[in-house]
Amino acid sequence: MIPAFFDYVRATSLSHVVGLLQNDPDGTRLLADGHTLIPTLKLRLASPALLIDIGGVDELRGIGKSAIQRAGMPSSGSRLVSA
Amino acid sequence: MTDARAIRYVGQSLRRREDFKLITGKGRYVDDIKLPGMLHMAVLRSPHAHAVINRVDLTEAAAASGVRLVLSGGDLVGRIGPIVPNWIIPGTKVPVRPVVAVDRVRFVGECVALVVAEKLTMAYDAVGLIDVDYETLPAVVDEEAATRDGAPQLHDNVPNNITTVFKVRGGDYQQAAREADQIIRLRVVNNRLIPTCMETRTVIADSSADGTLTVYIPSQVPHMHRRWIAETVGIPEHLLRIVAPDIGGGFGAKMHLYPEDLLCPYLARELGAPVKWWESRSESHQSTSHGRAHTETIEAAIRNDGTILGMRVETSGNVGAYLSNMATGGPTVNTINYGTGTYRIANYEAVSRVIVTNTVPVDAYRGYGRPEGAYIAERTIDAVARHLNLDQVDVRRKNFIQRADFPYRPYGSMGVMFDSGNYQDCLDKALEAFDYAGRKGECETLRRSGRYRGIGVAAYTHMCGMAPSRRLATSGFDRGGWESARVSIDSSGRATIYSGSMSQGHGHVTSLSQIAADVLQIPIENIDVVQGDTRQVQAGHGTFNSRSMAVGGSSVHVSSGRVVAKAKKIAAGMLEVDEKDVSYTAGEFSVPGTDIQPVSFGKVARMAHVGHKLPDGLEPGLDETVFYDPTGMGSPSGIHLAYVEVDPETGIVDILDYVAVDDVGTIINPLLAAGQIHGGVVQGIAQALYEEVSYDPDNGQLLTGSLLDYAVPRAEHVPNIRSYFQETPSPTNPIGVKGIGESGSIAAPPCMVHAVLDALSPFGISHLDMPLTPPRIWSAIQNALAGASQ
Repeated sequence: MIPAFFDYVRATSLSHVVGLLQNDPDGTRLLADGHTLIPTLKLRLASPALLIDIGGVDELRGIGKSAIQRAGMPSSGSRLVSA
Repeated sequence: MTDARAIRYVGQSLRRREDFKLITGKGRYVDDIKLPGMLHMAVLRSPHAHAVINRVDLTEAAAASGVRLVLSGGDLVGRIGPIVPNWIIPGTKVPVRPVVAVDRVRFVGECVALVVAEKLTMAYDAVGLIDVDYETLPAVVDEEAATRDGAPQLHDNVPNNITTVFKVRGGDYQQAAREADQIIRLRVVNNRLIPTCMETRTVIADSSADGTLTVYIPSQVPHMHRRWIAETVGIPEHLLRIVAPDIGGGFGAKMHLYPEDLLCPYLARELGAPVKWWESRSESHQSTSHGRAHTETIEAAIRNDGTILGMRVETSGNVGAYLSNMATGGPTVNTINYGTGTYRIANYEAVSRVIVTNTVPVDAYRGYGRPEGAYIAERTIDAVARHLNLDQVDVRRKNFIQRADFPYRPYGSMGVMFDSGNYQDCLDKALEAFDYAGRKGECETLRRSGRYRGIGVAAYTHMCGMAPSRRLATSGFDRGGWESARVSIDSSGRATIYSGSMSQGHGHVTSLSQIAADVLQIPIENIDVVQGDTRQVQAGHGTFNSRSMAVGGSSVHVSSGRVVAKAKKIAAGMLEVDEKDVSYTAGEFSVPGTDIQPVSFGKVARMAHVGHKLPDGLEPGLDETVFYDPTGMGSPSGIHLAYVEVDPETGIVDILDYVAVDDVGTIINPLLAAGQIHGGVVQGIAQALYEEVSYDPDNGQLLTGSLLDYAVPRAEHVPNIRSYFQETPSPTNPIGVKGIGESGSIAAPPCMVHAVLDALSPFGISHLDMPLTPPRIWSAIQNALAGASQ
């Protein structure tokens, strides 16, 4: 299937993401790896007005090393495995 | 043909002539075709398994950007349809199936309305604007539940949801049961599958100003599609051209008549523009036919030495919401006829009920009925061995039909005749290749250290190569059993074969050329094959039931023979000798024992075309068309063996080895034959271990609506398959071939289940239903352990 129309923004910083989210919280979805969201969009089970790609937000990157592991959203599977 | 110069391609592992094109991205599929001004159709599908349609509001969709036409089912009443099955077992109650639902929907995915727009995205967007008011009804998805009192009823003319009752009987089962030492009983489920093709269905219809209509469709049966579309849309057949280009897999799913096959032609004529429909993967799961979906209850009357005296079988075949093309034939003729498998069981009583439910229509999928039939026979004999604690090979050997029995009619059947076979030699060959004795010991040794390995055995036979025409009439099958081939020789002596068979990746360009080259005695490079265009290929039935080589190949063989016979007459005239003195080998007509200069096939072809010096009364041209109708169907057979290890901690099955010994008569091309076995075994393993269509039993929602939820195996899930052949030629056709395409998917499911059950035998587990997923195996082990500790 083909998703319905949506706007796409590649966010550059955390404040950029938060700002965009505040504009239209219900009509906005965050795109990280997209493993769940993209099939959902293709099946038109979700049709947000805006998709914010957080893959380029450096502040969200990285994998923590504390007792409770904390993985930033845009961490790829291969990076998690090697972490 | 003992001449050392003789050309002989049959039996050679030639690499596929069509592969360069296909593996370098040069294949041309329907989705690759772009026509000027082409419009796109999108379909609104029912979200409910069973509902009354109160109202369909198309207003908003019709006003949307780029939309050219919006229609609901009501708009099409009296214009196109209904969709009529092609195989109707006598006595069947046929439900009415409109092309697009009118006042009621009966499965999730049924067409409710459609949009034609300038772009596909526009069509999808407009579909989202269609407003349908549904009133949901109770739904039933299970075949056994559908026949119980109080079950939701799908069609007014199909009481208790049973369209067809079909019975088979031979000998006297009651007598056998009285004489038996024991009766054993089983209930087995043949899980519902999705025939996953790499290429989904796609249709383009293009209407021309002169009244002709071209339909591009990945069809296994182009000439049948021409007839069906003509009759259902109301277009004269001679004005309709079906073009089936390269096809990315069919497996039976691309040989039926679907609503979209009718909508595109109708809309192309209405709108005067080409109309395309392309099926997404999730649409495919809810609109293209499913496979299998049976439940069987079995009773076997046995002696304590393992002899099976008789069997009684009851089949409930789930065919979904409407009768698809061949739906009544699968659970009936194709299944219970073969319930006794490769065994001499004189007393047999079987009944099959064809049952409608609120699910996607079920129809042919690689093997269609024969996998279900073999599963009945094989699960039974394996249960006999397990129950009596006998060796699984010994029990089979004891009950096998013997070599001297052929041709063999199981249980005195009038409808079934196994033409040939040699199960004993197949079995010996398989046991040796597998090292059965060694591995049996290995299983026992490893069990002592808590490792659970098992050996699975399955034997199979069936009938395929659907023919002859007369036989099909009696079972209500509205088509012939013949195949057509035209062999046309050009003025240089090169040949073009026009075949009514249809490759969907089978390699017909290679295999049919091999057959023709041997008869024509010309190099294979001088032969081309044309299929899949009803304006080029004279007539045909197409590819299904493993019939392409047995029927289509035989047709090529016979027509090539007629070409050579005529060429010989022409050559005799050119050589000025009597025809009976002319010998033909390796492209040369000669007169043995003389010094007369031979004349080449090319020179004879030129003479046929110019007609300057032909024997009196002989027509010019070298071009023969044959409608070949075989005397009967061939019976492939074989033994498959699997070696597995089950991890009791996780329930994961590791397939350590798989050996297949198949007797499919004369092998035309060992490389292609092994490929057919590999593909079939993979699909069979998939049924046994991974794949299952799930529906919510309460509301009829399809739970496996995409490849995220439906487990098609990947390379890592499949073992190295060792394929061997034994060649017992079929007496039913001139080449001696038997169908091969379905063998793997018939043998592998019982083989895999038996291997897993053998591995789990230390836990006392004697039955599991497919698919044998890790949770299912793990739960069975846990239950067994819990039961043992109580």
